[in-house]
Amino acid sequence: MSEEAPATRPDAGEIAVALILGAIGVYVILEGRTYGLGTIVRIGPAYFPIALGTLLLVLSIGLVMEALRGRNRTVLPAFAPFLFVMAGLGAWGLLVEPFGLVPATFVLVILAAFAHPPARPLRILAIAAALSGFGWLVFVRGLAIPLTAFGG
Amino acid sequence: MNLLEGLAIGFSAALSGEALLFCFVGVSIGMFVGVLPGIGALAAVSMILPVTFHLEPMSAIIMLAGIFYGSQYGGSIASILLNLPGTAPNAVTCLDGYPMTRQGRAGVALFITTITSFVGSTLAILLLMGFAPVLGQFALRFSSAEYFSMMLLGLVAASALSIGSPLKGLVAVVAGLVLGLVGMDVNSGQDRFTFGIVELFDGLNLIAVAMGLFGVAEILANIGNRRTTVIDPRSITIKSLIPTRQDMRLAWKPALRGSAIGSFVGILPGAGPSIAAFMSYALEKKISRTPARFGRGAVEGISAPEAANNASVQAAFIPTLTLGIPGDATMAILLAAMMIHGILPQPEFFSTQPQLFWGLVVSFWIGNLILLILNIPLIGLWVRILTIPYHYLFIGILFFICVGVYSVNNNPFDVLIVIIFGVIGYFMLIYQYPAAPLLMGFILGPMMEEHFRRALLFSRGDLATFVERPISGAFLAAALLVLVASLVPIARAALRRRAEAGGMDARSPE
Repeated sequence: MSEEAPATRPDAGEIAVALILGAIGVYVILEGRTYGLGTIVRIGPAYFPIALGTLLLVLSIGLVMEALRGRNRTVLPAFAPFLFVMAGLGAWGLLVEPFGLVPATFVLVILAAFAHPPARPLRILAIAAALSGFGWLVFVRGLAIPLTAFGG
Repeated sequence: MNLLEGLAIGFSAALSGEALLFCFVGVSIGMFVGVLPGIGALAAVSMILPVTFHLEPMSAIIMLAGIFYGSQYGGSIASILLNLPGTAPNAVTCLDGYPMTRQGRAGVALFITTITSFVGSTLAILLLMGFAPVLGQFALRFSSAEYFSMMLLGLVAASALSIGSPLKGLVAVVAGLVLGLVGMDVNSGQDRFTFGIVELFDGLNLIAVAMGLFGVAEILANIGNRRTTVIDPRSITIKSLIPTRQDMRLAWKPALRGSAIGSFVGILPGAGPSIAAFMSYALEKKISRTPARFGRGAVEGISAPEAANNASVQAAFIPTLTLGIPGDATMAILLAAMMIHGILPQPEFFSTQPQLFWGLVVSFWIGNLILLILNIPLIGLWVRILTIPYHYLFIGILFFICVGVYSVNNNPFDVLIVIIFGVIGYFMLIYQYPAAPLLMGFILGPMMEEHFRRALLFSRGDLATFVERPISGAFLAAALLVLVASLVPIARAALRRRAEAGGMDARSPE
């Protein structure tokens, strides 16, 4: 009913997301059933999980129907930036306690720089140095969070 | 206690050196994140929250609140100069703000949005002063049934009023409620959905969830954008700010209407500044005698929404402070911040902690005055900040996300939570599921379950208590109304499609 040419088939990703949500709903119900229902006066810890899981399942059926009718094509953004940002965060989390704030921050900054080229190497190193210096001053010295600059 | 006594207490609290300092720091950070596209108030408040653990509760809340309302001022600058909203509520301001820039009237647009922002905030703070204590008195009669129903209304409104598919909004709320279940159940000691992981016994870390869903997802959304517009900071001079008499004449009535809409939307649980700005723009366009001017640099098109989003942020403190019900997701983070600092907003708040309430109110006045100064004489500084390239900026944001999240529990496990929610937020972005309702569900969920249980305990297991108690019943009826109103268009579209499938003749010309 509109002028623009619609995609010819429903979006598979859209349907997949709806199905995953439905599966989570089923899991929440099944896991919730193990918690004990209690009585209606004193309801137990299972009550809300079962209710919410059911709601999620019902809504996800609606989503599948909406997705089957829908003809909009999802635009997938570039994957590399996503990967580098996540890798940077993961590296920081893994390295910060065994190796200290400065090495963790350098690895984060260098990995993140790949997410959004072009970045100039010298500038990236300068940013890494500035951030770890600032972080050490404010968080380690100022707010006394138990991290070291180097080493565990 | 009357208004003057309250103000006296407020001034003595808010005029201390420490309170003034943190008010200034808060609104400056708010301006900064507002100016920069790609980082919003919610991510900024969650990022700064861990830093405030060491402060006095009052200073912490003054500063965090300042970030929220300060960002509303800053957000319009990028909308006007770059056609890129600095924060989500300023998106509408692009529509007429950017055309004004192309006509060489950027300075005038910046001046008008600052003044109307100030007007909107001021009127809403007056409302807060007059109305909040009254509402607090009224709410003393609320019991668990009312609280449950009111939160339900808030969640339904948050999902139905979010942009896009209302079904996706509802799913986001329910998913948020499910995430709120994680951790030890307070009543029974049963641990739920913890997978035996010790770190999850206290529930998912709110700050980590918010940073993943908003901070990381915002970065991923912005990283691909190549900024094509170039601005010359020297083009914005003090002289270029001065509007004509005609501009002012056109701007003031829409600003007042925008303030009214913003205040109303702000008080509603679940509706935030984005909706307020959008509604007031739509209204101005509808009642204008020359609607064709909108989108081409109409002054009304920037003054109304900017007044509305600022009014809505200030008015949102009314339900937050009197009832403990946040108006939108950012306010939900602020509410969580207050609870971390041992402040439990509730109807008794005004009588038990008057210095906190009135101190906060007076700090809003001071903060808005500071923002006026930051925006008009110092506008050139903020325009220059806009020229920081994003491919260096986002690295800094990532670093502050890491350190901020780590410092909450001094545990790298929370960085893992950020990553997981960053992935979830990324897919929500791609498939257009709104993140704000999810966060509200996550924060309100445990409170709702608690009130639900308590209400049933009081009524001896009679579910009818939620409907029979008049105020609770009214909230539930309102929630149902909002739900039906949002789902009707979907059902109607489905019916029409079925009619079309029935035969080509049935197709109505559209």
